[in-house]
Amino acid sequence: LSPDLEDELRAVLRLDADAAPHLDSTWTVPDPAEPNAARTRNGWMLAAASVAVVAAGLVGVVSVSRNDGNGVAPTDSAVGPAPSVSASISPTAPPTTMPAVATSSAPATSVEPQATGLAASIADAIGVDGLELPPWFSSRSTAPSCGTWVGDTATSQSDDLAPLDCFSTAIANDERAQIVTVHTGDDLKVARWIVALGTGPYGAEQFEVASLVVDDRAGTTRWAETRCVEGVFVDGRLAGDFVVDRNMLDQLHPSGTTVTEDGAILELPGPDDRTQLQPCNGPVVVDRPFVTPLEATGMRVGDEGSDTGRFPGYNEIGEPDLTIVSSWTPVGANDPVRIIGFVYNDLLDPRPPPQTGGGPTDAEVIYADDGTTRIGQFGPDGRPALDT
Amino acid sequence: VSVESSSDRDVRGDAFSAFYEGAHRSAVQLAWLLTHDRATCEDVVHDAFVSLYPRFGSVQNPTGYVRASIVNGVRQRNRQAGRERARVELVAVTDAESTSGPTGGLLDAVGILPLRSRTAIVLRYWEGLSDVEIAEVMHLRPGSVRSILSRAISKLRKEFS
Repeated sequence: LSPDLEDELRAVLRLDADAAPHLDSTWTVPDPAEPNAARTRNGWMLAAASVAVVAAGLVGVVSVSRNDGNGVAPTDSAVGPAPSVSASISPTAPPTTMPAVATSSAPATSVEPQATGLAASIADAIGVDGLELPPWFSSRSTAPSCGTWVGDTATSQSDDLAPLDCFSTAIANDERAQIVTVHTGDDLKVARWIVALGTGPYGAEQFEVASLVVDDRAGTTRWAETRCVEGVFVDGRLAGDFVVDRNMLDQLHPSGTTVTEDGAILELPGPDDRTQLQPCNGPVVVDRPFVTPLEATGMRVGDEGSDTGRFPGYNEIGEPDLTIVSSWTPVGANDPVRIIGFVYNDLLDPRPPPQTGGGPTDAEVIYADDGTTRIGQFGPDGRPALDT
Repeated sequence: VSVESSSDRDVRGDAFSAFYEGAHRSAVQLAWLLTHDRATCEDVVHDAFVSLYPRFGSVQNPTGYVRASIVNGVRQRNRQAGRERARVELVAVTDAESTSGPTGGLLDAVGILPLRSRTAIVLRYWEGLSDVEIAEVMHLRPGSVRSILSRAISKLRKEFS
């Protein structure tokens, strides 16, 4: 642009800004009884980060537990808004009430974001390359109140918490890390973790959230779905404010590929590359910048329902929880309650369930839990019809 | 979790109210320039201030925090479903409070830029931020900002010509 055009650009933006609507809300001090809410005089009340997870609630989701043959029996009741009887895709409004999920079993805070010294050491141990196990993990065999993690044995039931979507306490008070969900399968274990990293550039506490994937079949362990979240802990739960998304932007090339720190362009194998690798400490390059639905959600096709699960996107008391907004949203059916597929969130668009006997819905990218992302459709019976 | 006394809360509330009064309009304008959607604008701005409130006093740069929150909020919405994405695209806005008016074709050209480019343009030419400041708001490296701005300006030149 010539200087004249730059001036004109400034001028039109100034005019456009002047045309912005005048919002006459006036701030009032929030009620101390509502620590995460603020009220304006015109009656608005907004929960922090509420909007960011609304989309996650637009699809009816069944939280499930998996019977891995280790004594943990599946249950059969759906959670929250029931999926359609006739179809599996069940767009619903975000839940207004949430099922009680044994919140009393979670001891109060074990994560202390103010105590950042040890948190920093944990972050260092995890490593910004996202591939290394924290040293404390290899020797860990238990996750308090969530059960036991030993070999292939699923977390045992504790206080009626399911092994899947088990909200646990921090693994230990001095580790400043918190396990939030666990999945254990025959050859794959997934745990989601929160680690306090200290203060971000604007003085807010930052937390790194990731799935730890232990793949016994491949003999590998890695981190996936790393996210940087700014938020606060309330009664031991992370009330996220917004996902920092630092290197999602930094790495995302307009072509859809990822650009590494040194400028190299990394071709990505999966559709959900854009939502990966968002640690607080900057861009990373990993062997497989791709996350499967199992890694993202801890759920598999065929997993059956549990009345102790919860909605992705909300914690066990119904508060928005950014730590569990993932690349994939499970889609459930309710007869029986089970997971029948996953939809990549960026393709998520609320739609009515397919009509019984009608034609298939629009094609979606769904995933069949065998390591392959496929393009498929949800047929009239609500089941995914995958292209091979 | 520390317990804040009522007097401390009052002091913080008064200070925050003053900050809110001073910063609210420009926050709305930034959100408007990025979204051109009144409802989204309201939500993003309120979310930003709600997010700031509990840490007001400890945040070193509240204006920057709100600015970054708005940019983050708009980006998160833009990443949601296609319907959400369409709603925040300037080019898709057709209501009365849209790009029509005295601004003319150059603003339309800005409106068809990708959100990231549009954000950089707005932060540079409306907020007057430097590359480094834009990089901080958008969580980018300054070099990336320069690259984005360069591509955006090239596109503007092409569109506007």
